[in-house]
Amino acid sequence: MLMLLLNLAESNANLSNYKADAALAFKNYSDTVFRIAFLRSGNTTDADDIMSEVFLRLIKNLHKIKSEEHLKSWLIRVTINRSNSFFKKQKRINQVRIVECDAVYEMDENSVLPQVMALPMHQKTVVFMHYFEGYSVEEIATLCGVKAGTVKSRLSRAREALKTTLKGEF
Amino acid sequence: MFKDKFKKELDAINPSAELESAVLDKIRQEKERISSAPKISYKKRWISAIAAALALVIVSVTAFNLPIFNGSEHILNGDISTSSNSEDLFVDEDLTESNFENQDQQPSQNAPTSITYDAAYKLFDKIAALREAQKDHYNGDNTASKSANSDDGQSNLTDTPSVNDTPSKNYTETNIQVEGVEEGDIVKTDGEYIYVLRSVVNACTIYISKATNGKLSKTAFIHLYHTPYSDLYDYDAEIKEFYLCSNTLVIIISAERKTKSFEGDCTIAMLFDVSNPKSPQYIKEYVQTGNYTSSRLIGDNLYLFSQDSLYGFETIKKPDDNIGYTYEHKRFWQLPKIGVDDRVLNDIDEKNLYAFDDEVNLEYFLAVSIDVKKRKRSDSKAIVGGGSNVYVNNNAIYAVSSEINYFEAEKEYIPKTYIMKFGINKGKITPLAKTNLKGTVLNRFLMDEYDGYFRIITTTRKYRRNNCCAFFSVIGIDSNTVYVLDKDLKTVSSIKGIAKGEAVTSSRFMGEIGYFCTSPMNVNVDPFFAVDFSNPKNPKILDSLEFPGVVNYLHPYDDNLMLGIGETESGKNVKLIMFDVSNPKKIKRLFTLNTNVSCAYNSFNVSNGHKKINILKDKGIICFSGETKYNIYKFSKQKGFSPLEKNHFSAKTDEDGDIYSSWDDSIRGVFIDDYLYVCNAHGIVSYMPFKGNKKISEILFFNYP
Repeated sequence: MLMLLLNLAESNANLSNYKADAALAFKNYSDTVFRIAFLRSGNTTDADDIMSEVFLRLIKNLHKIKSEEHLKSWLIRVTINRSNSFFKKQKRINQVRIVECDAVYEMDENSVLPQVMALPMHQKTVVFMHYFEGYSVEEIATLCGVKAGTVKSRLSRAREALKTTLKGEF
Repeated sequence: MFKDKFKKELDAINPSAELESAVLDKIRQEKERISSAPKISYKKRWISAIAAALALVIVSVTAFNLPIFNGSEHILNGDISTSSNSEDLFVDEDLTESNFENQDQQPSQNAPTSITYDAAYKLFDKIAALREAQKDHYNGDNTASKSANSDDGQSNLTDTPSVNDTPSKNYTETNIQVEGVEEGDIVKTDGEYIYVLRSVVNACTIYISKATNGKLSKTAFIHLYHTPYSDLYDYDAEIKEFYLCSNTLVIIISAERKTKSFEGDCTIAMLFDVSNPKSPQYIKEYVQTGNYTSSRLIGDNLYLFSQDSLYGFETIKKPDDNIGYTYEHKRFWQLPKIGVDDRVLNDIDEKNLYAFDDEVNLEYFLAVSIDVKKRKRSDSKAIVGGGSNVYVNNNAIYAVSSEINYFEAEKEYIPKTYIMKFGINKGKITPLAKTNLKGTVLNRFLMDEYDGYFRIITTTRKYRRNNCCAFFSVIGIDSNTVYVLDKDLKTVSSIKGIAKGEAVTSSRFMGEIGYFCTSPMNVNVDPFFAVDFSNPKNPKILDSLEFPGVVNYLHPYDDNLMLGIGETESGKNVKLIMFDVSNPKKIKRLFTLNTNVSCAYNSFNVSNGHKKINILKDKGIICFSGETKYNIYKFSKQKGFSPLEKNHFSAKTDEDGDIYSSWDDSIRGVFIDDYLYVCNAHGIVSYMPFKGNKKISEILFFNYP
């Protein structure tokens, strides 16, 4: 019985021929990772730190990646987790951080991004994943590790908030 | 439109070239380091790990005779082990029955019945099957019934939302819909101290400041993450609003949490003793599952409402031959829960769980009452069905929700509004009746109960679903309908087809007469209607008056005057209108003022929009918040509207060094005697507005204490 199980494990290991490459992954997905980190942190400095951390982790976990689709999901999930840890650490420190940003993005009075940035953390994440990346509610639930109902309620609350602040734009 | 703009703006956000180069260097270095380290076959490591795990399982089962538990079957059969059955059940002392002698209210014949847990799960299965088959069991056309007989003593004559009486207090209170039914807000005062909510990401705090003749001094603050159970809060936990009652600060919190017994959204009422505001003392907190909907305070009784889905999804990772693994989402049923602190939440008692046999929604509405003075939960009732808009008067709760059936919306679709009625009496909550009507309801100001009859105005819009089922587009407005329902929510009468092509923008009821405004989509021209409800079987439109602009909020100024606040024809600025309603058959527009205050942040008809407005008849002023300033206009019956000599009073802005801000960065103004205190998330600034707009004193929350 044990030999049968071991053989099964070995045969499963051979089925996926996909080999992830960190440099190529960076080329294809660094923008996505950076944008999630930027949305969640609110500034480019923290987004830089989070992005670096994510790709360094990828290098150590390349063998776990089974497909291109899995790679993207993995990167998104880890970026969310990394920014969670980042902010939990800030909460424990209980300080207000003054961050100098090295980039300024031009926005006009009709820009929507500042209103999205002002949303609570979970809400702006689902807004990004739904409206920018095009993920469905169930896919977002898997990526964020929450119930689909939670994703729906976050999207709903985000839309309510954006309707108030964006008025005709939404 | 939003999607395209959002994509375009976010496309411009990219990592810098320097960062890209730095990360690629690190990747290269790490690759080299790994390639030069001794190799261990991943395959062999994986196989070894599996073998070790299997060995452990075999030993465990053999040695300890443990059963193999099939988690997914357990979930699908609905045989969920809830915290009600667990051995570590927390005894909730607040669940002891309150003494509700002589407070029973007679439910209608179509009132819901309480159900057992088993019956509830069977009902949920039935609803799920119905929705899967895309059936709608509701008959949307309620046939008019014979008018109700004179009330049997259960439906009392309700005080109508009264016009502003001269306040007996020397300080401003929150602008509310129904007299005697207090509403939570982000700023409150007791005439001596001012309490202000700063609701920002990671830092929800209530600041307490002493205000004496315009001088401000820091007193104390309550930080959400410094409370006893804050380790259970997700960092997105948010204080929504609060109340001051009987020397108690009642804070309403919306949070996501993960405990042994529950994962999901919760609504919390947290109590602090503020008899000494310099040293607020934590008392306890009451937790209920669900997203925060609304709350009210009647006397010492807080009524707290939440709603959520009756199901959750278990995400199960399954092996997949092609990509290694895949995820499957299995639904499980989840009942509403309540608890005294955050450690354990218990399923609501079966005797407090209600449902209608013909319910088709897989949501619940949970109403909990808490006696703030006795610091005790009085009652809790959960009912299958939703309720996102809540109208409350001194006798009843009407929970209203509009539902769009996702499955039908590829073609034109007209949603329905579902209404559930609960009787309330000194904390006791009794589910009484329900119904549904065609159309949607803008907000709770379009509802009112008077003399046992419930009046409501709906708008019939046509929707079509977009590519994903997450949101819908309005493709047209049909018209509006006024309904009159009896105490059992049976339709007594209606006026259909009002203002075709237009939607109701505001409404207010004054006893037997109801007033509302409508406006077409994207055009700011409003007719103002007066409806006579003196004969509930035969309501009549008495008059209508067209005027340029849109009214988003109506407020009875006195018995003869109705104030409208809204937008100019261009949609750019705030407009004030005073209507003469002394003769509802001939309404007149008495005075109009197009202010220079921008409309950009003045949505007075959203859920808490009316709280940005203060109408102080004793001072002869009308005030409302703008984006960064509080604005004051005089009103007299002889001369109409005019601005104060200096009428814009600045709040603290975020240029003071705080980078965090909330999208709901609203301003409130409170008067204590003749001093004005303009409050927002950043601080308080005091003025003496009748002597100019020179700042007297200010406090910045950033550097508290």
